[in-house]
Amino acid sequence: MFTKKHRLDKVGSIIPLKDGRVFIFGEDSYNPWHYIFSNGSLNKFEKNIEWEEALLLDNDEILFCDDDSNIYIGSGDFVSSKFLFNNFYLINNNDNRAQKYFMLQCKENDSKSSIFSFKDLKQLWDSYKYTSIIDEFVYTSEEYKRGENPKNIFNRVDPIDGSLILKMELDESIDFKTIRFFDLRNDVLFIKPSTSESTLAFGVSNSTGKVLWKVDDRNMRHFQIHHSEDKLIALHYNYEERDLHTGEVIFQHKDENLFEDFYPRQGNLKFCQVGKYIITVVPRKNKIYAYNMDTNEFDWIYTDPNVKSFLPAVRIEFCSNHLFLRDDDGHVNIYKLDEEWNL
Amino acid sequence: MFFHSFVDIALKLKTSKNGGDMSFVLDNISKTLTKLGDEPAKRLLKETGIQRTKAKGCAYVWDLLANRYDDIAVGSFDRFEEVVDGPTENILDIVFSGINLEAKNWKEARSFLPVTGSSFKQLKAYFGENKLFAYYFNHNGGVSVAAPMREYLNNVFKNNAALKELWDSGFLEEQYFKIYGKRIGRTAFRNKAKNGKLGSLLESLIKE
Repeated sequence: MFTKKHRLDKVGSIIPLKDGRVFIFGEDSYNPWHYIFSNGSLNKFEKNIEWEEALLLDNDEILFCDDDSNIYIGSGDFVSSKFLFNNFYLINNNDNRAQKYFMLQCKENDSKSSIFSFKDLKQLWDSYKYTSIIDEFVYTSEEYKRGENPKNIFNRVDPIDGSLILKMELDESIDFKTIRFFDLRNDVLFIKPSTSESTLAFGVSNSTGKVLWKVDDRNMRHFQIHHSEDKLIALHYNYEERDLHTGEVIFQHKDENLFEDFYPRQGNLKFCQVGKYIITVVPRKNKIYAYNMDTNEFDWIYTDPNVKSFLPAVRIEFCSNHLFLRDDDGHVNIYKLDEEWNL
Repeated sequence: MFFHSFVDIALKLKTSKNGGDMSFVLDNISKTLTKLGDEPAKRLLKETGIQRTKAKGCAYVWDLLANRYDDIAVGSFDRFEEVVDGPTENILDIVFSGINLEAKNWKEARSFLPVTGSSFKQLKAYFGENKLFAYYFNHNGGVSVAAPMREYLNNVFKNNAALKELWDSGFLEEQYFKIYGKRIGRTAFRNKAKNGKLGSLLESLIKE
């Protein structure tokens, strides 16, 4: 299904752009560099600044942060990258989605975050609450403190000025520190636990704030929203689908023999959806698995002899028909999708 | 107490050719895991329960636990879970990991968690799986081993290259959020480590 093409050492960030290029940043013996991966080839560039972190904006420009909390912006031509602000840290999002709004954390006061628009790079408002950005939506939540605030304050706010748009009607007593991962599709906000300590997951209407469903199951942390259908999918000790709008299980495939070799342990397994396939890796193994969601078979299991084991909790990227996988030796392995493979 | 008991057991295991001491330990582990009955436990038993090197670790662990917690009997997974606050499978991983680290470095605790080497790789593997874990240490003759260990772990976080390797799993960011209620990026996290502001987080990862 995939053929290995490259193996890179000392990689920091991997950022796929909307136009198909992929930026890969790293450091080699204290010489910062980056690669631009385009049409299957890698071009290496030396840099004079070591970019610590990076964030993709909606116009394919990239924000960078250096070690001295300076923020820059560039579009791939790093010679002409512009300095924007200092005394800010970048907080990058977990899934590399291009940001219409972005958030910087104040160096002097880490309780304060500032919200900016990608269009004019102007500071819009400051937040002292836990703030999340998904696409064009901004959410705030507050930690419950006895006697100081009511439980579960979770709001959707106006990205321009931070004013309240609607209150999410979560009446459960839940700890937002354990359920901060959420994603959005077709007006359903999927809120899931981030660790095994918490088990509650919710589907909430993004337009009304109403809780559509609630599921109390420790396996909910393994689910992700399907790329093109209104369902949640998870590949763990079995394959499972849930309806995005009701939270109910709509399909389960359990097969002890099939999953004999696929042993995810208890960690948070990340996976990447490539057409009808779930591509993933498991702890302590150097195997890549491609699970066919139509036939419920592992159509492709590949053992990479040059890798000791892959890192399963680290984001798996698939872009420009290439798969980017990190291993425990600090390398990024790049595999090309074989042309004859039907997705 | 801690090191003495370890040395005793290590010597017993080393000199036991037919695994006499081991069979008792294995039997207890097997029974306990079988009692759990769920798929992960069965798999764990299959994958690890019959491996001699890891079972050696278990013998040590039961002893360690029995010494540390009065109400933990050999094979008492339920109480064990309660104590370390995680599912059984994680606990065994923690235990194996801790044993490897402690066993290799028991003479020189300061060599724990170097930025390179097998113990760092093990640490990275745990972060890379994004599961809850902690390293557990006893007081050594009344002297805290955990405190210097936390300092060494903080040094790992201060090291840019090491932190880069650990960061992408999201474990540290999640752990930071869980403890301090704020989001943080890698650069800011490293600066916190430099300024000695990660005390609670270090305490959550290295306990005694």
